[in-house]
Amino acid sequence: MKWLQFAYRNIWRNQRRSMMTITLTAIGTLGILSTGGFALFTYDSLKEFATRATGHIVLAHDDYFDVDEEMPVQLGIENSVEIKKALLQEPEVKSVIQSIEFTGLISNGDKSTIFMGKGVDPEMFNLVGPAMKLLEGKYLSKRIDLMADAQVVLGQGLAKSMGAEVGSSLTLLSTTSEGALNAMDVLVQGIYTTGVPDMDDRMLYVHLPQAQELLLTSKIHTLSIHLFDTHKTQAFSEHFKKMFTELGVTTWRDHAFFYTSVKNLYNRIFGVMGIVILLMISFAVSNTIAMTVVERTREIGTLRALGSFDYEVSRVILLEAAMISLIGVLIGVVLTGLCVLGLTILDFQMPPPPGQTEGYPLRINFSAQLTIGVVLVMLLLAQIAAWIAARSGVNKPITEALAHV
Amino acid sequence: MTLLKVRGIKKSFAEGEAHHQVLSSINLDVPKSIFMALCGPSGSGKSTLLNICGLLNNPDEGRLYWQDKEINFNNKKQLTLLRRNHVGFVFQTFNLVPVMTVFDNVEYPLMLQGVAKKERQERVYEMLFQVGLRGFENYLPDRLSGGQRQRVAIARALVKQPQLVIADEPTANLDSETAYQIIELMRELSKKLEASFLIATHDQRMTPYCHQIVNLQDGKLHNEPTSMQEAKNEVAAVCLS
Ligand SMILES: Nc1ncnc2c1ncn2[C@@H]1O[C@H](COP(=O)(O)OP(=O)(O)O)[C@@H](O)[C@H]1O
Ligand SMILES: [Mg+2]
Repeated sequence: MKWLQFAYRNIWRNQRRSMMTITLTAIGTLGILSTGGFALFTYDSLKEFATRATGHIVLAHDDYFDVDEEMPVQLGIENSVEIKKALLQEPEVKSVIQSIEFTGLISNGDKSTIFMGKGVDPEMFNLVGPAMKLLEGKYLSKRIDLMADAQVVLGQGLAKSMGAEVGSSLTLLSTTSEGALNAMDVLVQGIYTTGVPDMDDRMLYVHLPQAQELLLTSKIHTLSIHLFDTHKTQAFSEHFKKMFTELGVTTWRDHAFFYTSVKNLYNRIFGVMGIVILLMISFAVSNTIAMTVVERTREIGTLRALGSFDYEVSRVILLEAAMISLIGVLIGVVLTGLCVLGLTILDFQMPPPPGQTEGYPLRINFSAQLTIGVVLVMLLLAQIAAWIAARSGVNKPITEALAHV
Repeated sequence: MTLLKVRGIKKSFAEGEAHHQVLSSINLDVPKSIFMALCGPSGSGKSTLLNICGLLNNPDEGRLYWQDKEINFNNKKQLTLLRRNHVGFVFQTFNLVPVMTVFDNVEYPLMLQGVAKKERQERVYEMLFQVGLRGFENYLPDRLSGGQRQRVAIARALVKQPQLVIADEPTANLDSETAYQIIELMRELSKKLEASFLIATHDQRMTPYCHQIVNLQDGKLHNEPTSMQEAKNEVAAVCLS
């Protein structure tokens, strides 16, 4: 207790210098925690985005993601309805979406263009979340009206190029699983955007059975499994691998290219930044302690003359460094907390990422794990820096130290 | 038994290319409970000799015997422990730790020795009483006058009941009135606690209080007669080089 008091009084012997070091440490901590928190927020958002778009676990033909089909639905799954039923028996499974992918031409009678289509279970639109935004009309209805034309939901760009609005009639033309041409009349049910123009210019959605009808098949391509808890993805993918030995089991990570590349990029950028900040703070602490030790040369010499071992003297100096860095780091943590709150209240928007039209909110995640980690690393580095800085001063010959003015 | 025996000590410092021989073959006996002054002009090597006697520095040549046991200057741990347990220091510039209160400064040597808290407290209060500073326990040194600070330093040096106290010009930074008081205090406590004092000084006022005065000149020691009658009986012979 007494030693804490001495260390505390020592800090205020050179108030300006100590304040500088504390401020630097606080700003550095804020820098690392806020950029780290921003990265974590981004990862979380992209993860949410990715898992909603693809589901947590995707079942497909073993070769589906590796090999190009020579014929439509060549690498499909036959008994998907039974598989879906079996999956829904699992208590952790929230939902299962079957889908089939196909390409072809879309025409409004005057003009045609290439499309990329997906036949899906309509629950998909409830799960997809912010990855899709409905601009006009509705998504595919829950039930198929067999008396009416098939429904289609178009990407914004595709709708524009077809001059289509909600209620417009269009024709889809595609190759069947047997290689013949087939056509289907569709009615525009809704228009959406993903925020990615390249996708919006090509993509459309229809009900799964109608896509199967167009392709003359009973197969599907993928089953997207949505779990209640993202953390169970790995465990369940192992489980499903055993359950469906003949199928390929992949997780959302295998399909989240954007998530993976952003994470790699951010880890690198913020990692380097963090190291720079840590080095800067280490130098600041080491500099402060070096100056402190020089200023107190005679005092240190006195303590050693009285019979203190070097480590007993260093201990006092290290305690002082620990206190300075702890005060700085704690202020930094508090500042980060305030930033987290402030950003939540103010709701700043970040500009759209490259290739997208929508921005996203600037938020910082406050991660206890990151905070504790950063605090410990900061304190440890400060101790090492202080120890190195103090060593030369403490090892000076006592008589020289005592003669120091 | 002689507390400290100095035999054939030499010490020189490099001055550029040349060697400056500060001490050349010093012999000195410091008996128990002696109050001894080391006189000599500024730059004569008083501090250098005191630092060696206080085990703060090693001689180039020669030997030191602590209670007839030779001191190994290469054993840093042993030197530190000897100082911790048996040697007190009083400096010209007081050298109190500014962030420590009067109490804490005096307590420090006992903490190093690992004395229990309660005993530390008793001994610190007793020592502060001896130097006339009861009631100042919680003062920080910067609130004290020079004389008071030196009293704290004396208390710090004596609280561990050392056998030897090294005092390098303890009165040089004090006015003459205060200097007298400090000298008298040291003399009194030396007798009471049976501690040998080795005091470097060029202060003539010191001489009447000393059992023995040795003069350092040109790197050599010369014995000087003292005015104190008892000194003649107590003091061991000084070996002239
Ligand atoms: N560390 C040192 N390096 C070089 N010269 C020194 C050193 N310490 C003392 N000296 C020299 O040794 C001589 C004696 O110094 P010192 O013992 O301090 O004398 P005094 O205490 O009697 O004034 C002086 O000339 C001084 O310059
Ligand atoms: Mg001197």
